[in-house]
Amino acid sequence: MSANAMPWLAGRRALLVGAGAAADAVAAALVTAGATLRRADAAIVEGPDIAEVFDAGEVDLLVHAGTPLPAVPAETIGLDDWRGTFSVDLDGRFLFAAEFARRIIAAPGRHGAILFLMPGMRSHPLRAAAASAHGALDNLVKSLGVEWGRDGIRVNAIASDVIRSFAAASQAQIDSLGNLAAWLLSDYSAYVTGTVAGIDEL
Amino acid sequence: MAIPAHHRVIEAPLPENPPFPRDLLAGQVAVVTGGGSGMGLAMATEMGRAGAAIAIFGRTQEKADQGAATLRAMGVRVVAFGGDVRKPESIAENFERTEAELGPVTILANNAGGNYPVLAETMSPGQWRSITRIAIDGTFLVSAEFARRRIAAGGGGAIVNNSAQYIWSGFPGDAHSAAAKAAIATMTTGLAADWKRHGIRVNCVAAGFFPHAHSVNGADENRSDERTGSMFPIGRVGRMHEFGQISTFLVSPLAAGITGETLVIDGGDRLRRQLMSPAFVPPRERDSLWGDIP
Repeated sequence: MSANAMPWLAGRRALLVGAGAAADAVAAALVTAGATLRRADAAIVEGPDIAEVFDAGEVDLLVHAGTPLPAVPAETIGLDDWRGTFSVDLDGRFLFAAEFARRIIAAPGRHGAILFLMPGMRSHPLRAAAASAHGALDNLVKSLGVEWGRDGIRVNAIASDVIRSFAAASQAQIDSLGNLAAWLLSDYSAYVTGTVAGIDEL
Repeated sequence: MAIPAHHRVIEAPLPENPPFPRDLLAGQVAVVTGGGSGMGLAMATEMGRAGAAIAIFGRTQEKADQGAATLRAMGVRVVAFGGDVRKPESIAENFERTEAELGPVTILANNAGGNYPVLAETMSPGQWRSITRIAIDGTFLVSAEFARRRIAAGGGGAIVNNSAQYIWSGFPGDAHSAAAKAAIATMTTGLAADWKRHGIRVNCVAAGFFPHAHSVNGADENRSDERTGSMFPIGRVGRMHEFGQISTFLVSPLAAGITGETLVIDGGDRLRRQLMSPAFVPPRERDSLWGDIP
């Protein structure tokens, strides 16, 4: 079942940051739901570069898929690698979200939604740095959802092993990822903020 | 407290502009427990609007009939039965009657429950049992009856459970429901794992404030939706159709890959809003056990 007959995002302008098969599936679902879509590279993590992405055109919906993070034994992670994880993943996500929010806040009458895509919250070996970054993101969602609650900006995330292991996911799970992303970004979810949803994390 | 005009409070589209096509659930039959009024009726309404035939299981035949009348006026095919979700025989009998009239049940919405303020140390065993058994035993027993029938029919089907935004924190004066609603959320994960191989999906909605005529928080005329709404980061209470729609999403083919999940819809209610809070008053010493609306 596709969202063809359901233009939940008609007239909404989306920016999707990040690459990969899961991000591509979400991108396709947003377009099917009626959004116009631009994409940006998750390697962009510096404030002025991020501002430039937004300067290219107004955005109502921000999706950030983060950056694939390496699997490394915790005891071998050096300071640079440890810090690098947060620089390329968490920092980029926050700075994109903050720039997005500044522009919505500055424009009375506008409203928007942010959706982060991340792996499921279950622990796996060799993922100490990634798990820390995603734990930080989990609580960032809850903080920003409240902080921007009266600015018409909602903040949610999908945390799923469908995103982590996309190649192993069923078609139903892939379709549901896209449908859930479109649902959470749409105004039908106007009362949903500060949440982290899964797909099938059993 | 009035919400300042410059705050941006966003409403969802009105019920007349539903998110789903009228045939999304065509050919499906949904049982909704506690569907005669309130949140159960909201689930039944939106599932019916999306094309499902509806069986309302109410506490009494009269309550069930009231909900059915609303759905019938919308053109939804509906049956209604009174019964006790704590009694397996009562549940089985109502499934029999439903399937005789509408065909195999493929969707279940577990909503039956109750709640009211009471200090834990003054709560009678009967009070504890009534709230926890309707919610915990009722959700389990109706789900098990549903699953047995789905498995015998070759599998497939979807369950959505009604839980609450306070399951991660609990709150004073609500020991019975705080415990029961949390049990429903963990039961959701357990049943989803058990029945995944049968293609039966089990999900849950943790809902915040959705005032309606029969809710403990919505019946008092001094507690207007506007004042209640000022408590939440989103700046308003939840609208009944929003709860019905997210529940419908979860049981629909749009969520065919989603199982074992609890989606939260609470306008940010459960989240900490400041590091400093008003002085703590022990529940026993409060004028109003659940606190006052600003």
